Amino acid sequence: MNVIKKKMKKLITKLLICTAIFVAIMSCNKDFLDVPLKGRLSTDVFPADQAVTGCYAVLLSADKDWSLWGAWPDFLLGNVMSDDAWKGGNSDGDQPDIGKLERFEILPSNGNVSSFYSNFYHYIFIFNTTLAGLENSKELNDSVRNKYIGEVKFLRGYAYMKLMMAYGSKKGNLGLPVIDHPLLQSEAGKIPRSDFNTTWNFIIKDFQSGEVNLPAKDQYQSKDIGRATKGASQAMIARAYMLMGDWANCELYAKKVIDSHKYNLEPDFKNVFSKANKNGQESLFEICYTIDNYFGIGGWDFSHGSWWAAAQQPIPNGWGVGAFTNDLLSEFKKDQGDPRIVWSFVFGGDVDISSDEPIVLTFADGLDPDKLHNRKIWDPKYFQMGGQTDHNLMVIRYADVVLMYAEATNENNKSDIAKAALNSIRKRARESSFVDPYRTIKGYNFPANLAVNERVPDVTTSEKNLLRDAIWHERRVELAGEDLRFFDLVRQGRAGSVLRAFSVKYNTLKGKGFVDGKHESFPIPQNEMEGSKGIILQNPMYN
Amino acid sequence: MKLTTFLFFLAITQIVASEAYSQTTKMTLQLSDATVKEVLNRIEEKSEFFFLYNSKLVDVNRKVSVDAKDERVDEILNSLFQETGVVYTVVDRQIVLTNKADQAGFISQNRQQQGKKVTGKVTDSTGGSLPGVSIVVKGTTTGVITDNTGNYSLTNIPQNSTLQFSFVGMKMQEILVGSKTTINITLEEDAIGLEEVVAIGYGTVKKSDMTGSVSSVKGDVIASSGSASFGQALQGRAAGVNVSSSSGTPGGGSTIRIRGMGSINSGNDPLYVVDGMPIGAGPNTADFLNPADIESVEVLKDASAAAIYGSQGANGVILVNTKRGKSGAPKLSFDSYYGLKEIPKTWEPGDAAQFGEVYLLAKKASGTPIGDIYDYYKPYYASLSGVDFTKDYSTAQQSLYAKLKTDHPQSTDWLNELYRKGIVQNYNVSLSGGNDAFRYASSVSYYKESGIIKTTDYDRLSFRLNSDYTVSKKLKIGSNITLVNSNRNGINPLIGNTVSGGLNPGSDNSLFSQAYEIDPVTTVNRTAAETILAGGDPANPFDLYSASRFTGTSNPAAGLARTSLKYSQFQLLANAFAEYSIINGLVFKSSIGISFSRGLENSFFPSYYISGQDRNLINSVRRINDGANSWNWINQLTYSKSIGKHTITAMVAYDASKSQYHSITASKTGTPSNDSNQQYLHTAQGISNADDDINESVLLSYLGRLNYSFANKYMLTGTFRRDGSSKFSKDTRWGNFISASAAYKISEESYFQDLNISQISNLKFRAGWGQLGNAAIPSYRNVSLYAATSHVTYPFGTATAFPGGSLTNYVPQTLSQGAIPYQIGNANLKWETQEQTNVGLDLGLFKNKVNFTADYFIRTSKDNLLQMPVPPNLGYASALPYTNAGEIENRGFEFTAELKNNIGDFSYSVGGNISFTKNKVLSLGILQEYPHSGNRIDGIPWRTIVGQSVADFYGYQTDGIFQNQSEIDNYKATDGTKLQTNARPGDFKFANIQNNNALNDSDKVVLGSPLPKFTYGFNISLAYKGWDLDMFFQGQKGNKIFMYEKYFIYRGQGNFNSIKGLPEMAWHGPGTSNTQPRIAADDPNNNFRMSDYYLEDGSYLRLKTIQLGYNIPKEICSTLKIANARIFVSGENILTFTKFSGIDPEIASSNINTMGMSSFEYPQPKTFRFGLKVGF
Repeated sequence: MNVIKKKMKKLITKLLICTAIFVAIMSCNKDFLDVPLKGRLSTDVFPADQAVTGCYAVLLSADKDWSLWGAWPDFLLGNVMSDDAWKGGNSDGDQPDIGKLERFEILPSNGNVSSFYSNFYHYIFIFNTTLAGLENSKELNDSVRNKYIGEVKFLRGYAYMKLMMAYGSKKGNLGLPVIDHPLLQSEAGKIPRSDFNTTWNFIIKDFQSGEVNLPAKDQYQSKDIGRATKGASQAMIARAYMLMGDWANCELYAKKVIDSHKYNLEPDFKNVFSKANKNGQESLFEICYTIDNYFGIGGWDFSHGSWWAAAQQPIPNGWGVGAFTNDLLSEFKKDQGDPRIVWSFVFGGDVDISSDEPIVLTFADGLDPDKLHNRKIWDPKYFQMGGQTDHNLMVIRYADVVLMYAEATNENNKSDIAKAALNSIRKRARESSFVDPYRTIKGYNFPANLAVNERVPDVTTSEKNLLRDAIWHERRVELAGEDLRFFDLVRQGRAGSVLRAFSVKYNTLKGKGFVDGKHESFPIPQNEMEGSKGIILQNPMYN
Repeated sequence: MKLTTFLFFLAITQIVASEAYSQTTKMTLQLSDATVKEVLNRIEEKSEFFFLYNSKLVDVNRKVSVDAKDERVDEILNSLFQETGVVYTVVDRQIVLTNKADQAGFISQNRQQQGKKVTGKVTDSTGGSLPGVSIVVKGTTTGVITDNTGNYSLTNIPQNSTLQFSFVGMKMQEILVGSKTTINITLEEDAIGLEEVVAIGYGTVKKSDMTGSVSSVKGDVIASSGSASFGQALQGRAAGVNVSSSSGTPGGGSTIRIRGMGSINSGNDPLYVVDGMPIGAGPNTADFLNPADIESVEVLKDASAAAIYGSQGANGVILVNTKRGKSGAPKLSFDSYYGLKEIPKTWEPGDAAQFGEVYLLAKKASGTPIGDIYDYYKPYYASLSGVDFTKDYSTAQQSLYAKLKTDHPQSTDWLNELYRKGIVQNYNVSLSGGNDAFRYASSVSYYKESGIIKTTDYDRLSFRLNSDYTVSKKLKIGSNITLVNSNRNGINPLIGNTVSGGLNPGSDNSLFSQAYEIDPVTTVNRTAAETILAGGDPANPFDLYSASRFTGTSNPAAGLARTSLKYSQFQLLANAFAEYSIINGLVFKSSIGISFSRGLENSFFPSYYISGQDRNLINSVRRINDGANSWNWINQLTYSKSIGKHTITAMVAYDASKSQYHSITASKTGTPSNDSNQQYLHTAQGISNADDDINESVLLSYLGRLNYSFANKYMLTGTFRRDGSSKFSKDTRWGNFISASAAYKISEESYFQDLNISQISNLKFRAGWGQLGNAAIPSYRNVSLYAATSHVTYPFGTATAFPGGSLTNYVPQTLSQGAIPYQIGNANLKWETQEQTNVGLDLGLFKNKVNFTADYFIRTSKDNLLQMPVPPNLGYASALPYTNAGEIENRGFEFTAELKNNIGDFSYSVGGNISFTKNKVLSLGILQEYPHSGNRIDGIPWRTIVGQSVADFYGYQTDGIFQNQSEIDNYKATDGTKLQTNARPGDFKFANIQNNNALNDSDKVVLGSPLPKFTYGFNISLAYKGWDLDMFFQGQKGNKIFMYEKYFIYRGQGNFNSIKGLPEMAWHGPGTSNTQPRIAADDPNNNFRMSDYYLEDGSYLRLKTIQLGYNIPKEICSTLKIANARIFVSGENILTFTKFSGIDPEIASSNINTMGMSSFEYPQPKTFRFGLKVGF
């Protein structure tokens, strides 16, 4: 019995020890499953200042983030789809989707059509998330909050405007799906396109928030240069009304900018796009770029440099995309001795003298039929960093406002005001310098012997149609390469006739396929159509 | 561990232990009307004794009654076998029963020597010594047992007598003594397949007692496959296990799917468990293992089997057991092979003349004005004027080609710039042995492979040591350690590509795609003068590559030359366990494992200048250090007990694991030159950048299992598991998973045996049901996150432009830090749950010479963890949140059959398996359809639709090609509207499925599925004397492959090179083609939208391996002083039967958004190997 008892005791002890170990292990891990969020920023804390900065930063992401890489052509479609610029580039296979846009062989599946759309809606999502954060934040005082809201709404207006210019259809009375808050997944596919004017009015409202809440340009400290301003908001509203064809309001808002006396035309045209004069007196809003520390890291040039501008540099240093046409040059030549030719064109054969070793700009390779490039964003080789430049993207400038004012007043039958405004632009042009310190111009002979008053003479006609033509000419010349031409042609109702005539004149497919009533708008991208089955209507004639 | 091995261990103990046990152990036994067998069983239960007997010699079914109180075992046995002629020999705990025993003769020790003496050694088929084998002189009771080195010595043997060698689990052999004095024999394993023990996770079970669906693959099959990784070696070997190799990349892995696709995008990879330690799911997780180390692989397929792994088992579980040491003299073996790898037959791109031909035809066909033609081709353009593109224009085509060929004979073979002959070699040395207290198995192996694409290399040095200690009768401890060091060139499997772009197979812009797309007019290199003209520096060898003249494609030879990526990885997998037997039948086991890996990527991006678009002006060097650590602690209690006919095994366990991944990236620009000795961070003088990434997750589980069997006829298994995961929020993190299964072995029923169906030796029915979980999503998906990286910054403030010159003295502008939302969290995320029902049967015929297994299963997954696609207007971009939505079902049959037989010296075996799986989406939450992400071609080629299978191909259906204008004009809708007004003769006619008044999105249909209807594998093995031939075939049927390459190289638009023969293949006049549209630079008809044009039948049958081996005869071996030797020649991927015209029909997609897509894959090479295996 004793033996058994002993054995039993031993056994029970063993069992108890094992059970104890087991239970101990099982219960010692109360917080075991709470894994801390290491190396990550939770949205539980809303960093208002950084979130607003982030809203500006996403505008650059098209240039420096691989995932959004497809968005960079947005910055030149207004040129390439017009009669101002060729797709250019290295070959047919280089950016073939842009080639299709230029030839108007546009399908809803076109890569640029879909990335343009997706990216801007992604920015809008980020803006909406930030706006929601700003509105809910308890730490902000109202004046800061309102200023931040004004900035983000300005950016949202800008994004919607870009989308609207590309995808809005006046003919079909179709605007965009207007999304004003961060959508939950459950809200997916439930928001149809608003009609044309409703969408524009939403955009205008966003800019009006900027107009009310934002300081004037000169009220910013120098460290905040580059942020959205009251004046920029007003100018964007003018542009929106111009695109809508609402000339009364366009005039009203253009006049607000002019009357604010915060902006002026640069006395010399060469300074408008000079990198030394970023955000200068003529500038209303620019997207800011710089060459930074991240250049060359990771085998590719992730940096805040302007890739869209690098792409437009002539081959071999650049990609040769968006090469100018002779047709654009002949528009300039309608006025004898327009100094803006010097500041708008780089010619094949010019010599880059920026460094000790002069370089002949041959543009030897690539699809560059007219051997012309955009001087506004051209960087001499010495000032490029690995083919990269730090030009800012001019979103809107004072000359544009003045020309909008001219066009609006002319439409509103105030031809004298219109003429004066137009001639202020022409005056600045003729008084501008025409010697480029960075190059010896070989491709063009500026008639330097022409007296100043013989260059770009004042427009004298007061006849509405003639004046309108003169203003349209001036827009094409003054704003060449600023991504507006195609959208101007569309709003002027003559995109088809102009582009088809171009195709015939220059014996090219470019512009040939333009179908009136269809190609004024991009198609809604395929993935949007499929993702929102039935809710989103396609633009006319794309089905 | 097999039963034989188990017995084998026990047999050893008798030799060394004293006889004290039998003298001291007393027991009480009361049984009436029981069989002798039952009495013996009872003694075994009550003591540590066990019996060895041959039931033919000892009548164990004799009914007896026993009434013993506190008696010694010999006393009980004496009364049990009184007057039966049965005698027993007790050696420690082993008791051997024989009939008509002559006690004096059986134990040879201390006997007088008379007559002849015979000595010898008994070994098993692997050459290992066999202790405990009984050797009896036939017809007498004289006998002996081999000692612990397998040696025996028998004396006093009459001439002409015959010796009988027998051992449990081995075939008995008889040898005529004759004049021999030394008899060495090798015993062969008996066909005891049904007695095999299989791993089932947290324990083992006899194969015959299995209730769930488990496939086993033996280690030798894996080792002989010649695959670098064990995953590849599983291909076609087990029913319901679909393996496809990711690519022919050296060291490349494989994708494994068990019983179909259960999840849309939260992972479909099975869980890998190595020696009891879960090491995670995911492709290539266990591929670091040396295939030669693997003893067996078990695949837990159904829920009742896998449920014990709860939340990790949703996609099945693959249990890998590595080889363990056996007692005996040290066994040393060496094996090695050397092989050559060749490029399989694959697509050929057209030559330079064809490129020009296609370019010119394309431009002409679309009416391109001469102004838009390259100067180079302008002279030829005129020759096409007047060609009528609506009539057959073969003549114009041919003369154009001939003229171009004459004028420009130079043509670059770009593929040739990438390919080479590959070499594979493998060396493996293993050593194992031990005694009853300590056993070990170790190996050292070196594998090296150079790929058929230049610069892609892989080598692996691995070491493994498994050890087992029997500390005492109660305590066993052991450990398993694997160390692996591997090196890869060209490809980092973690990142999947090189930054220079290009060795990433299956990508839209890989070197392979470039080699197909670049024009062959361009030469590989250019002259120094041309380099200078283009802006390059002839002193830099990377600048001497040409830029493509006409296609804008990067030069693939330049990309290959620039590829400088080395990835080396060190992996350690180790676990230690202790098993303590608390009381008889109750065992506590604790096991701690760690898995540890450190990887280092060294990459260098040289500075070069080919063109403005293809350049990198500042070179940079990058290091990525990745580290993964995980630990896992399992504590389990197992209790086994047999009471009469009832056997029960109960197990409860607690399992905690934590895994962490951390990577650190450092890079720096501006090394002094591209020289390989300067490709270091230290020498780089430019800007440095550093970043890191960390991921952690934790899993905590409580689990239990109960196995019950009655009379060896009825078996029941039930499991329970409760898992908590850190990947979910507090309220949703716990999941419970249960399963139940049963089996009925009808062949054990007496009435069945009475039926006397002598052919049926085994028949078992199985049924099971269970639940499993899936949490295969990245960590932290339940919370929303901001990104505030160096990219999210903005240059506010007065700017100073870059002043020109070099960057050195430039002070960059200060950037303001921003933050953007980059991940949208979902706090309500919970487990994806799977339910699976399985019924099956096992059938053995003709004494189990033929075995057959069939299973039917229904697998349903609910609350799929899904990144639901949203329309772009939501703006989520890549920040898509996960949600629980949808329900998917997989149903299927699996059959496995095997026949083994021999006719004299000729033996053969034929085996095969086939599995049919039908996948069906039952629900997608709020969606009816799920267009996948990945915008390719015209929209998205994949769509998951409720009622269909996952990831169907979706698009238009072609209906031939319009041969003339009147066909186009007559293609009208019911209301008379012309449907394809933009079409021209030679364009596709697309079917108006809806028969409505327009051809639009509504006419898109499901075009096929990337999922095969069935997959199969079969092998044929033949052996005659020393020769053996093994052939293994593997294939699949009924899937479609989406040939994405066609979008580029079949297009004939002139902006890419095209496949050889395209002009002849393409429509070039009425009646010339009804499948390949005309060559044209534009595409007004949108011929190349997603349609069935891109799809091809992906069915194939592949002779995966064929091996001819020769075992060198024993006599030669013994003169060479080796135990055994084998040489073989083999071939892999030698023959493929398929209608697929692309690169390789074997396509693995671990990503649902690239399912069944062929996109310039790295083809599976043909390999020829020669090998040698020597045992010492």
